Amino acid sequence: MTGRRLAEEEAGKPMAEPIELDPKRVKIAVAAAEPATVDLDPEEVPIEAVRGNPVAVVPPTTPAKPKPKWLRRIFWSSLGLFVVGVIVWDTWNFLVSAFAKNFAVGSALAAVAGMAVLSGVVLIFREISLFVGELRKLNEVSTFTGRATALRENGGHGEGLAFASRVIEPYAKRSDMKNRIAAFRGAVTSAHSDVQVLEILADKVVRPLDAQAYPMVARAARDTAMGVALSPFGLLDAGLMIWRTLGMVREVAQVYGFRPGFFGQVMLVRRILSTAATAGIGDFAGDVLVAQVGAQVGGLLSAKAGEGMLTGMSTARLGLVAMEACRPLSFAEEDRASIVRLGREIMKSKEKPGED
Amino acid sequence: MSVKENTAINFRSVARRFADRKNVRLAVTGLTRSGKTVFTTSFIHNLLSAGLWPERLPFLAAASRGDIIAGEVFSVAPGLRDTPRFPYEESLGAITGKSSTWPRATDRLSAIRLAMRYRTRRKLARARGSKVQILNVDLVDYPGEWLLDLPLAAKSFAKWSEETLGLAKFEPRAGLAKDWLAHMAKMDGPGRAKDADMEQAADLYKAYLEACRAPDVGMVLGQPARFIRPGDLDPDDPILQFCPLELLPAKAPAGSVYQVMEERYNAYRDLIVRPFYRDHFRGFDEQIVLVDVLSALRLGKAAFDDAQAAIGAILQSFDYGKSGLLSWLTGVRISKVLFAATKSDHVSSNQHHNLKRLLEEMVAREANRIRFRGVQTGAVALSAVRCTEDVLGEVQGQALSMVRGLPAGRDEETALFPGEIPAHFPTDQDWHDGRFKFLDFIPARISGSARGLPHVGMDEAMEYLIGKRLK
Repeated sequence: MTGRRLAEEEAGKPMAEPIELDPKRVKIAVAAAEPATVDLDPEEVPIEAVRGNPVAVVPPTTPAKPKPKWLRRIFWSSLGLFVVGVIVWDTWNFLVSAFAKNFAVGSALAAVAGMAVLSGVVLIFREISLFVGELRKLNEVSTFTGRATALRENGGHGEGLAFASRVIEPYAKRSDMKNRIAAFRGAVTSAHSDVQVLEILADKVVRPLDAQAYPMVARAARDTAMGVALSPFGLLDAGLMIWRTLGMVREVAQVYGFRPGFFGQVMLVRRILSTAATAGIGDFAGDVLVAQVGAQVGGLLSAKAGEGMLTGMSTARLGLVAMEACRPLSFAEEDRASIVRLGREIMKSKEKPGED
Repeated sequence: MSVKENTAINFRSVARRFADRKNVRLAVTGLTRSGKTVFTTSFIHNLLSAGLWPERLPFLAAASRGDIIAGEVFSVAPGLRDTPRFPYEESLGAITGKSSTWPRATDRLSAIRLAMRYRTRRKLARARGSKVQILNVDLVDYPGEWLLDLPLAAKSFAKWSEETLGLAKFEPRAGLAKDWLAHMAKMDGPGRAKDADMEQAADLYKAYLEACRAPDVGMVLGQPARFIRPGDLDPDDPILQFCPLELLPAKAPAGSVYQVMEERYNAYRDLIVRPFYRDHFRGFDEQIVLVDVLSALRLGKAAFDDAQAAIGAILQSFDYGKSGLLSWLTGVRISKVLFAATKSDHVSSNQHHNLKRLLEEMVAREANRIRFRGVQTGAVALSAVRCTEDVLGEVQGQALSMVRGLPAGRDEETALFPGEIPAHFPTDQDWHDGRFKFLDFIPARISGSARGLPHVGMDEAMEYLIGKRLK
């Protein structure tokens, strides 16, 4: 509607006249889930009727055709088939020979094998369904952040509430979120612009989640730092770091409403790594410097301590990226997660060891 | 005020910066009917409720963080000891009571102090062990017309006459000034002053001023203001019996019309305007300027220009500048100004953006002048008490954002689309009749007022004006 009005104004046509209606004939906009504007049919206009700066239209790029990977595919699938075939064949032979030797032993082994296969299938199914669900959620998160950015940039009015209720929906059943959601609903009114609605949403709903996630990241960072500083050999360092980091990622994801299974976790880690590679670098460059300097100073005391600090810092960074990847709104400038803030969290958790 | 006094006051204000108790004097500025009293009432009431129910003020950071503990109002503010207390409870009662009306028009000066207890986040204060601090906010309410007198403080009779007569040459003033000007033509400036003639001249001038500010004309720039709102003055006092006169080519003889009128003007300026300015319009720290943009829009181009000129005239009288640590040398000055387009709830929320843009354009010249002095300015679409809600109406198959509320003098609610608020000054041709229709909605839908009054943008205004002081 606004689009049409603007167009009319540009063309010098008279604008809409004031109008008064019986209130029984009107809908209440606050409760309306849909935006307070009407959809317009697509309309074609001759170019002479269009004023203003031409908008550069980027031609849709067709994705480059992927190089044929059939050779590799054949290799892997045939190899996989071969391995599965060998296992099945071996098991079959083994069971047959067991039956031939002793019927009781054979049937016991067959039952065990059957149970293993059955439970394996169930497990895989559950994992896949979980994975699909989480994948959908993760994709939703990326649409959320995109939509929030669009709302922010448009600076419009009337669409923020509908968007916010979609963001809130997954949290509605959580008992720890009830008060926060109530606080959000109490604070927001139909007079708030989209940007303001997003700000209130961030303040009342999302930032409390951050506050829950920060100590987790801080604890993981501290644990890896201490572990690496104390561990006697390198392999233990790596194992410790991987184990603790994966645990942290799972915890952080749960805070933001995910229940990642094994594949989900792998997916999440992949996503986190890609987030770190694309978005994070500029933002964390300053922090990296701080971390490096800190590690240098730590290194003066002992090489192992310096190494530990560096590992701790990278765990922390990974945790922040995990937060960014799971967060329904992207970090605003003021709450951009930073190592400095994490440092504070680490200090806090040291003050109160009882909480760990 | 002597230099010694001035220094003492300024020194105190510097000393206050380091105490646990901080004071801020807020100038609520606005022409008559711009909503000063309602703003002050809502400001106080919403801050008083912010301790227990901060959710009405999401954009006041201190409230949102839960740092505000409680507030209380006091009648006495130092420096304003003789001023009557602002009738906060009465105003609130009018808005939230059964009658649901707006508080009556302000006809005299009043003041109030709002004390806020809050948890501070400042490291210095916390290190000293004072985690809870108090912020006193002093507010003054007065008839908006009186503001228009402020420019007189530095003006001679001749200069004022010239400007006022100049204004009366243009429509719609020219038509309204006919009777008065006709009478003046009969009077002889250098001739002997006769009481009856003088009285009639003053009465006709007063009638002209009243006619100018009638709601359907809306010419607000009218001096002297005490002709319309005498306050504690007797309306028949000779000090209120003069009017602008054409400048004489030679010096006016003693006892002539011109000389007597000039004498009375000078007395008015020296005994009423200057003390009022000195006692009540100095030492402000922050300022909010309330502008009724919608009324100006409704009344047309002349009223719009007039309101713009009036705002310009008023703001000349305030001291702007950074008041820093050296303020004991330079004097306390307004360091932040917020322009607010009031009554924004008369249009649907998706038009607030344009309302704000229009306001910014209306005050651009003043804002620019103020900013040049290193003072921060901002603009907001404000509604101190929101008495409508946004609804969607269907008109000829199209959904239209409207406001729903109870207009004054009616029994039933209505839904109104008041017209499109333009983002820019309309041109003369655009300003045709029937382009806008604004209704005077009354606060009938307010419930749960103990939790604060519903509003639009009050929290943003508070954050802008006192947010940093509540840190």
